[in-house]
Amino acid sequence: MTENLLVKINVNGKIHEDQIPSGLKLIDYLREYCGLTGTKKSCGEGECGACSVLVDGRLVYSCIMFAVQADGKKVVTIEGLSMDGELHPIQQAFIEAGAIQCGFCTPGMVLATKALLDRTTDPNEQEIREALSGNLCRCTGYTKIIDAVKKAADKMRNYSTGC
Amino acid sequence: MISVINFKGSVKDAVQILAEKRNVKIVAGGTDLMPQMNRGLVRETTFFCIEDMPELKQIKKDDKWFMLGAGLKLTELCNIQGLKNYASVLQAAQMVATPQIRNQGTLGGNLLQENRCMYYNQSISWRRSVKKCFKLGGDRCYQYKNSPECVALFQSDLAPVLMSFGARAVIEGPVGRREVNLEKLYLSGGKKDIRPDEILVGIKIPLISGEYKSSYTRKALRGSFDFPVVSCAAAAEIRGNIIEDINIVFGSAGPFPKVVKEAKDMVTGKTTEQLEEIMPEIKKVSRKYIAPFRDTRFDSFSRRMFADELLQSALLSFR
Repeated sequence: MTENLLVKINVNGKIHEDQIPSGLKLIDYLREYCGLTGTKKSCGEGECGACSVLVDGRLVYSCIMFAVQADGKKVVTIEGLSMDGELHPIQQAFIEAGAIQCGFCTPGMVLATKALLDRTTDPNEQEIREALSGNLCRCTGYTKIIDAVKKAADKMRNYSTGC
Repeated sequence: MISVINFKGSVKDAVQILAEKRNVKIVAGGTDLMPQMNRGLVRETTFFCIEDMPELKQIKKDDKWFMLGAGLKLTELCNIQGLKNYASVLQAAQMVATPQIRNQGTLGGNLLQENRCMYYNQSISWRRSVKKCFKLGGDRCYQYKNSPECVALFQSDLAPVLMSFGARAVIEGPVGRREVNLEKLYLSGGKKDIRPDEILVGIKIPLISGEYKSSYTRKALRGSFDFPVVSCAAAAEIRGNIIEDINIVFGSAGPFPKVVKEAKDMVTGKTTEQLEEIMPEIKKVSRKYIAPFRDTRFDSFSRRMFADELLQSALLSFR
């Protein structure tokens, strides 16, 4: 018998309290209990990065993490980036750079970019490549994605200085 | 169905609980275990999660040892100021997989990760089509025919590096705490000297004095996100330009990291300039430590050639 546990997780700024099977993975919790299907389920082995989310500011693979491990923590998914119907500068940069083709890897890529830009405001290309090394794209290719991250960094810098 | 106990108490309480339960698997970051679980390679259905146990995240220092909690994330390891003298530990931690894996995976998990093999790490359907190998409780090894035991490769990046510093594992069980030299933690057949009711609490690295240099080099098929095909960790005490002590350890060389025992005698007392001169001899001796079977991607000949190259690059970085 699977034991049910009560978890309290802050997802995108909103507290979710749910009784869940203790073996439930974080990705399944986000998609099925919170209805946040922007986080994509793909390899299930922590390789492709489509399921990447931020847990207490750390970029993680939600497909290889139990939901109970996020109990009491703050989770940010792709749905948590836009505010008042306006896209986050990183999302806008991905659109402007043409870094989205099928879009399946994009939520993970955007969150990996967010994790990078939270650490450093002016990353060089090597740092960008390193930050995205856990996210695979099978159709757009990486050139435009790297361009998008550079553009996003510019936007974020201007955004924070109010230029 | 799977159940998870998310334990946040003390190590003492945790090992008592583990002693009373059967078929429980300890999980910390989960980056090694959960992909195996998804592939049906883990038989246990109860997981004891130790990720948030505060005792496992401690960093301590006394006059002899630097103690790192086994629950420290690999990313956290990269940011420990006191590890600056242990350059190869930082190099190795930064080379592990991806930012996500390093944010989730722990020091202890990296050291206790399962050995990997191109026949074992496959889907359920694939494995169903062949008879069980040693690792699955069967009677054969597909990787190395006629082997009497499992020879799946142990591909940790941190284990060879910590071994090159003479690190010790601190393990706690229901009967108390014990310490084991990291080299002795790894047994034949991919087994580890730790019981299901024991927890790896931390790693003790000897404090280093004098001029110490260390280096970690590895060969992987891909530039990013890959297990090493072969890796080489070297740590040497160097006074002036004379090498006073050295440890060379190969990772991914076989079912456990291999210490090149002859290296001490061959290199100690030599100057860093003489390393190039004695390199052919060290390479010849070192080659025998690379197990003579292919890993997932390369044949044994290539793996030994890589080992030569890695050894050279690790040692010459001391000049």
